[in-house]
Amino acid sequence: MVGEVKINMISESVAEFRTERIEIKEEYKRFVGRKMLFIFSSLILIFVIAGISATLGSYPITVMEVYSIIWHGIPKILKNADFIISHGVNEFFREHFTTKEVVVWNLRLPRILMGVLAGIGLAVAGVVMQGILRNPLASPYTLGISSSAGFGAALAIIYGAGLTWIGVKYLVIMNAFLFALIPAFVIVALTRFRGASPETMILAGIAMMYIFSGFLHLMYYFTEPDAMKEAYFWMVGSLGRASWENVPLVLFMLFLCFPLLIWKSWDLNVMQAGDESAKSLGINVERTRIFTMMIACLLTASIISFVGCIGFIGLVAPHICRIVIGADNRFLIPASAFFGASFLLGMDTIGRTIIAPVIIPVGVMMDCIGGPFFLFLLMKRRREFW
Amino acid sequence: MKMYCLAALLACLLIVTPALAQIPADTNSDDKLTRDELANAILEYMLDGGDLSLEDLRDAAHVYVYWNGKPKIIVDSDGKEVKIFRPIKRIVVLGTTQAEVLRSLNAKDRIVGISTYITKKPDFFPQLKELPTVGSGYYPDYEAIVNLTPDIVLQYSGWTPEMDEELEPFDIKVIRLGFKLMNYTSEVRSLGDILDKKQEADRLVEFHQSYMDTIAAGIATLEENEKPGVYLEWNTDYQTDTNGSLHQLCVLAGGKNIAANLTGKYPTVDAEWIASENPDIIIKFPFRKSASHGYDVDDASEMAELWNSLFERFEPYNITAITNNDVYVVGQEIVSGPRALVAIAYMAKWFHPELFNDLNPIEIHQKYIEDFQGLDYDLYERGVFVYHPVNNPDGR
Repeated sequence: MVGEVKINMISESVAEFRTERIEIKEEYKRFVGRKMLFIFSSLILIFVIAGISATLGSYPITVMEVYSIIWHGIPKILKNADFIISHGVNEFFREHFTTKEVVVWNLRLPRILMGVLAGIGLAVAGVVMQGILRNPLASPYTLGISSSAGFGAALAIIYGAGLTWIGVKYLVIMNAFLFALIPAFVIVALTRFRGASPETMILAGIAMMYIFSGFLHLMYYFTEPDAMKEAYFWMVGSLGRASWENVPLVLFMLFLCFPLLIWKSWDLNVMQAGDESAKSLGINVERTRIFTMMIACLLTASIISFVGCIGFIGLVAPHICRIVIGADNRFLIPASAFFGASFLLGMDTIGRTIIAPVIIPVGVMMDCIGGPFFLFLLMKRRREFW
Repeated sequence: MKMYCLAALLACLLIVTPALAQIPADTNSDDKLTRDELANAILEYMLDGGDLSLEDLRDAAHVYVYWNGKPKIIVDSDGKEVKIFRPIKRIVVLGTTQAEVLRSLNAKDRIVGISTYITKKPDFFPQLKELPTVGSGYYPDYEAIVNLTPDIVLQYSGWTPEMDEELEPFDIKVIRLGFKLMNYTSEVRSLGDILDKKQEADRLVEFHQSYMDTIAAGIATLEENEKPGVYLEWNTDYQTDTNGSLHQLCVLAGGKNIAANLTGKYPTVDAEWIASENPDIIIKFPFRKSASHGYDVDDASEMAELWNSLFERFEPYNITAITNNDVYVVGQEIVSGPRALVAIAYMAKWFHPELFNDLNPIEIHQKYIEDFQGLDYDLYERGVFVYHPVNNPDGR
């Protein structure tokens, strides 16, 4: 009798435990579903904004014409792939496309693609940097990458002036890229001697930011304001320089870096709990931190050497996504990527149409509209995320 | 005739698609339009229409007759060679200086689009401001440019390096001309050449050069120690000029720039250094926004105010410029571009009044804006450009 009751009680509690577990599992599934929904809708949003953006511009082309041009352009390009490879894309456009087609294919599409790629890359770099440094302030800007790239570009613009402009153009990109990697190397070198604690890394980054902006201002005293103006415009960041020449390069870098970062996202999750816990779970914290840091820096460098310093997106996109779907990097990285892309593209579309033909560069739009929007979200949020 | 017809037929078979970056009717693309090529193209057009439009043929005939059948080449201020294959009829102009020179060359009718820099100067460009704009000179809207189907875009030297590539597939050439004082006459001649405005270019160069020569001849008679030491100041207080455009104006007007040996192009100096250098003359060059000046300004009060504050700033020091009341203000409206000549004339007169007694800056200015710019301002009556309470109290 007593035994029966005991058995009944045990089986009841087991059943209870089971239902509880099922409930938790279901809740988790629901939560995952919500995250997937957010990621999916951000992805859809990119296509929607790109679709709208392609139809906007100063050259009069109707909405239907734009889509027909895109639709019919693809087979045309595939058919003439040999010609494009042998003669270059500009020659192809001149020979085979009408002006309307060239406007869509040469002015609008590269700009849209560059917006999407830059948005993805910078947002992902931002998430990863915030994750590995466990600091909400980490972004390509605060780690000195933007200012060092800006200094590199200014150096090329000012001291490469003897070359022809086409030569200077490549020099600017190369130099910006190389200088953007300097903070990463300095941080790595520093952590070799002082240990890779997040605090050291972020302080080193901030020091780099001051050093390079100091150099940049120093240069101002010894050079022509005209050249300085060019450097300044480079610093602001704009998608105006997007072309079929540089979009594939950025795409390639993204294909290279994005999977590596997703692969490391679980390690990043564990590292959120602190270095000790992560180490006890068998993660080589220092190595992971340096590895992901280098990848993120490489990604940032290759993007901002083409579009200039669009700093804010790397800070704002991850935080907005974190507010919506939480801090699980496995979901946060793709979510920020897609959200960042649609956000950047949206800002650029507004910037180039709002008072057309006067174009406001995306860097400026991002700060002026993205900033207040972010503040608004911070005030509306209900729980702490950091 | 028969042979021509046969040749035309042959040519018809040979032509696949005419590439745009060549002289129209130059079927073998060797950048030389021969008599035969032109004749074939004309016959072909008359027989069955052909691939060329009437406009193409007109351009081809123009190139054959006036350009010797060869494309024209202009080397711009950045050292870039630009080949022009047909007469330039439509121009988008992004800088104010280029627009000014186009007007001097009597080519303003070819301007089809402008930048917002030009709309911001309605007093100087009253006719141009109605034209469609293509955005600011620094972030031009390429679609808007393409929409205007220009042959060339004129831009400042070194600006928007990506523009060449963006506009290349549309066969729009970008030419960057700075018209800096040192290259002004040669660049005017090159632009005049590609626009088929040689006479106008010669006339403009002659006008400019005759005054420059007069001033240079006067200065050549001076000993080095007869030239006054000048402190030049940009719009920002204490920002001077070591070898930039202000330095050039000063030297051409017969002055010695006290900052010529400093490092940097536009360094900031301190008052103590200026006092120790003891300049004979002080000149400030404000923006239009800092001290209102220009063609539609009648009242020199803002320039006078600036003059007063400049004078007061240096009054405590025992400087020759202050004791002799040799402090001047020159508006930036006449500092850069072709009208720098007017600034040089004013400065030469201030530096060496006995030498340039007959030189009349207002007359030069009036002649330039009337004969070359086609503006009808009476500069003896209105307009503010410079200021000195005794020499130029009206701002002229």
